[in-house]
Amino acid sequence: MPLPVCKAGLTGHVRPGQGRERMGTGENWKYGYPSQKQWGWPGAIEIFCGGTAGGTYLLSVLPYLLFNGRVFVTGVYASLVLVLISVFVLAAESNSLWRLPRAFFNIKSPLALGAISLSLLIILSIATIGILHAGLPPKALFFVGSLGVAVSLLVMMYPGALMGLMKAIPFWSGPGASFLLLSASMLSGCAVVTLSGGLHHLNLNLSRMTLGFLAIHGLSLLIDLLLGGQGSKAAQISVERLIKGPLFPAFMIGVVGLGWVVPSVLYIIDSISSSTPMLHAGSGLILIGGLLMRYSLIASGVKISMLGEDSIGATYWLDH
Amino acid sequence: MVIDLFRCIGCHACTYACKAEHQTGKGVFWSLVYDYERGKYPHVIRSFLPILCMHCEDAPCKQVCPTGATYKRGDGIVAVDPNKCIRCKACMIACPYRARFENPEDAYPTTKGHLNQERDLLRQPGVIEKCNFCKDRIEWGKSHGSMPGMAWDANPACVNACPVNARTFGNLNDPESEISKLISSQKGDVLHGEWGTGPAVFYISAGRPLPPKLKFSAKQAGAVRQNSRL
Repeated sequence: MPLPVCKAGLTGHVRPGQGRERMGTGENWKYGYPSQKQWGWPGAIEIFCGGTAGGTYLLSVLPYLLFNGRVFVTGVYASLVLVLISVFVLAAESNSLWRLPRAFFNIKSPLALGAISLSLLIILSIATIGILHAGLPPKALFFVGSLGVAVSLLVMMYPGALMGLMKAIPFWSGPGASFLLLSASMLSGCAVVTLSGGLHHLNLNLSRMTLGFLAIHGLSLLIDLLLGGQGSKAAQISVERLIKGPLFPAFMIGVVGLGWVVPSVLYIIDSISSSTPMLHAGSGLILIGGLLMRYSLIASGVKISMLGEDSIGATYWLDH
Repeated sequence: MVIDLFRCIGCHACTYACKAEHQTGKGVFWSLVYDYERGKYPHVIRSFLPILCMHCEDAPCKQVCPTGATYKRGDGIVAVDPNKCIRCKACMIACPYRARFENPEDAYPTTKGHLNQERDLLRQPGVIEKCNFCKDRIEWGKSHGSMPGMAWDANPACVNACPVNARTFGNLNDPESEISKLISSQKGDVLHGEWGTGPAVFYISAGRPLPPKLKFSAKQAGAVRQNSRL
């Protein structure tokens, strides 16, 4: 009679009667893999601030580029502050500042592209502000703004591209993470522009746009959860962690409840009876939900087991 | 490298040899041996899975490294240049074999190995490190006329330390090498080949006699245990 496939070890949790994975002889761990700190809150803050900066810049400049409107200068300032926070957190995580310029070297890596795009966004934000204050010709503003929009898109998408490369974490791998983070960044950008007074400065219906991005973001989250739930064992465990595991408070209450459901209700109420305080409250909750979403996504990343169903371990040991 | 899963007895000699050779810090294991207990009493089997960096052909760690600190040498070894590492930990997360570790702050290895060979790069605290197939030993051995896979002073420390010769090291590109013959005759396989990373560490155990299953019934096994307490 074939023995059951070893199922333990994905997170160090052991179930009686099934296999267990024990590491070394140190006193710091009993079962499971050696624990080493990887990505956590600093990564979440960096991705959140970077993505939100990209979304904010794009929304501040796009009306000028497409609809002959005005550039929302406060939004560009907000974008600059956010991207500087993102770069600061990224730099603080490094072990030595003098090595940081090396982060630009391997352009095949999404992280290097991220470093380049974050740096370019800083430069282009400063350039945009400088052009506006100096009263330079509109062509210069158009050129810088167009570049800035392209760079903003890169800033919003590079974390998802990086996560998509991680075959070791099935829940992250694939294009879903890119689209999720892109929609989240646009949503956060709408919230920042709303909070910084962009409602009456932009000649586009910001509240309707935010409602649209809320719908897209919600759909993207749902699709990611459904695909994860139907995927490999590790992806299923990631989804379980989010919807009923240790990440339940952060994800279901923070991201879904506070970050999506409540703002959606507030924005729908605003569309019926215009109310700026509702929009501001909703935008604040969107930002909180956005930060918690990035953290939940990072914390839910569970690596595939060494002994997967098709791995060598199962093949050779299943019949022993 | 080829690892014979049947021969491996889980003694961890490879783990400690690697630690001694490279003076890795607390909690850092370039070479690991996972052990598994499978089945229900009395039909329980203990199995061992040695894990190290697989030196993949299409290494995910190399793809995500922004500085190029992780690089693939011409001989296939995936190495890390600690002077370039910025500790972003993307490689740690990208590695599906969990083979990468952060050098603890208080670990500071020396510049000479057990063969008195020069270590080409000092591993600073905080950088991410992993198995490098003892490339310093390999280069020292080659410079002294030894062939990797044939001579002890050109072999990785774990290969030399294994008391049951479960590990074989050599040139995968040479069809006449012992390692190539082992892989073809014993139907060597890789761990999680479905990911397409192209690992260079193969596992074999086919064609060997399997360990006998325990034939006791639970009642008999209980009687044996009771007697052994006396």
